[in-house]
Amino acid sequence: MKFLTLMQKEFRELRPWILFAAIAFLAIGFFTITLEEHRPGYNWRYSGFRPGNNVDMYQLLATSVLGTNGVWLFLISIAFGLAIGIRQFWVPFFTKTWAFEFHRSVNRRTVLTTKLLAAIIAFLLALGAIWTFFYIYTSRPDFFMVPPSIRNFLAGWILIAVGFLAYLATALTALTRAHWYTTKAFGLPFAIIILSIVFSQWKLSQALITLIIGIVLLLSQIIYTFLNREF
Amino acid sequence: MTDSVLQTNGLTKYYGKDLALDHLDLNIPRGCICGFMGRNGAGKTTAIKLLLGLLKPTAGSASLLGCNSQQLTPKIRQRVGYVTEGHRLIRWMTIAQLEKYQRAFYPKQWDDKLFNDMIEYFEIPKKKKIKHISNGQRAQISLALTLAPNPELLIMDDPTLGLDPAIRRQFLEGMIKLIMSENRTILFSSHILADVERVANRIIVIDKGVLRANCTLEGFRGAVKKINVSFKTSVPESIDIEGLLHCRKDDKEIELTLVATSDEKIDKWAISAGADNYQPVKMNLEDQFIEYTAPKGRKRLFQWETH
Repeated sequence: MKFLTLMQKEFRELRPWILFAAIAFLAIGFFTITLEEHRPGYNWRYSGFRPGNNVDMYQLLATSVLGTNGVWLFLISIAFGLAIGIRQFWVPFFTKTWAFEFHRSVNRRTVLTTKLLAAIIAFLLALGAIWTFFYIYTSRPDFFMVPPSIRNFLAGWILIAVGFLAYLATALTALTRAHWYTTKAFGLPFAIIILSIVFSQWKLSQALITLIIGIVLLLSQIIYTFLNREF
Repeated sequence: MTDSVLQTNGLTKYYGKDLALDHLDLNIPRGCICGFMGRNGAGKTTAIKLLLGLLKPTAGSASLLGCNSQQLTPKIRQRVGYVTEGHRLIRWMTIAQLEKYQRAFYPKQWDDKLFNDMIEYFEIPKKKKIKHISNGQRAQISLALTLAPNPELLIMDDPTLGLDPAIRRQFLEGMIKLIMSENRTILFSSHILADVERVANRIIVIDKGVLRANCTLEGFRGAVKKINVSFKTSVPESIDIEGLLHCRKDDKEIELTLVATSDEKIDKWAISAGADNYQPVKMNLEDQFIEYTAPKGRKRLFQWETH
């Protein structure tokens, strides 16, 4: 009951951002897919590929029929991560409501769990579901001459995880008590470093492992800071 | 009952190099209404946040209802009501949503009737969002939300801030009577000392992080005195009287603020100093507090005051 109540509150707070991200991605996605559908000769995208070439994750996205959407997914995912990170962890500082949130019959761990879980579900709803829909939509027979591959689809999920990384970085930046000129913004440069490593990977599995390492590092830091810091 | 509900031992807090609280030793017995007094920046909010485990002490410890403040369990928190400074509530919620939200954390102890009665009394529509109500109304909602779970211990950080005088009086007298009828304990900080005087039976005075008084209200009222001593000739150079806090000299008059000085001692000193006569100055709690916490050697806080 208490957990559900906290989850409801988190969702209500994230709702505008979920809707905004979902609608933006849906609109841009349909627009670009329609353009692709009606543009002759879209195979130019693949002209640079040769058998045996290694193709990194970003090239794969940029050159697929979902390519343009992939780039938009990347941008929206990052923006969404920053927005919900600010909503969940910065705003209570501005409104001074942390004390009200904490002084009730739940512990801090539960409060943090609901925040993180709500964020994960928000990513799945706002971006994951729509990306999956686009993949299914564009994979229909005779829709595109070269349908998107499962690799394109998985690469999209990696971009969604990149957004989650940005979310964690924003959360950590909000929670840490360090000065701006010291390690306050550690989370954000760290996320950018992880991001560049991810995009330089040739294999999706390598990109995924890099992301997981980044997420685990940020998450452990967030958990420690949230449970131990003063509010 | 005389068991203690709130205890601190050498509670100390530094913010960087700034000392906010210096070895605070408190022991508040069950069933009292305790006014927590101090000037701005005296350390009241810091002490309250330390008690509630929202801040970590630099040294010392605090306990609430027998549980270390740094390890307050959800069950203990359930028994402690907390009205935050500035009545910070979730702004996007309506009062009805906030009620539902708060009730979920106190399913067995939530008093619907009490909450509804209070909201009705304060005449605030439940459909209103927190961000659309005034500070005073937010204070009233905050109080209703804190009282509805029937807390055993109620900690309020400047709860009457932003309330108009009529509502403030009703708020204090009505609600505190309600709580006192069930032998609950209240610790409330306030800048409005008339409020403290009206409802508290015990006071804590804190100044620059240091505990200056922790006694019954009557004890404090009786201990801090001010007298006007007049002399036929000039006033003596040095004043040597036990418990002297402040001394303001005029040509033929001295105003003395004394702490815990008995009437006999004052008499004795007046005779030995050659005073013509002396008159006690009537003081309310606010006067006493200002005198008691005024730094030595500094000019009067309110220079235009006459007596």
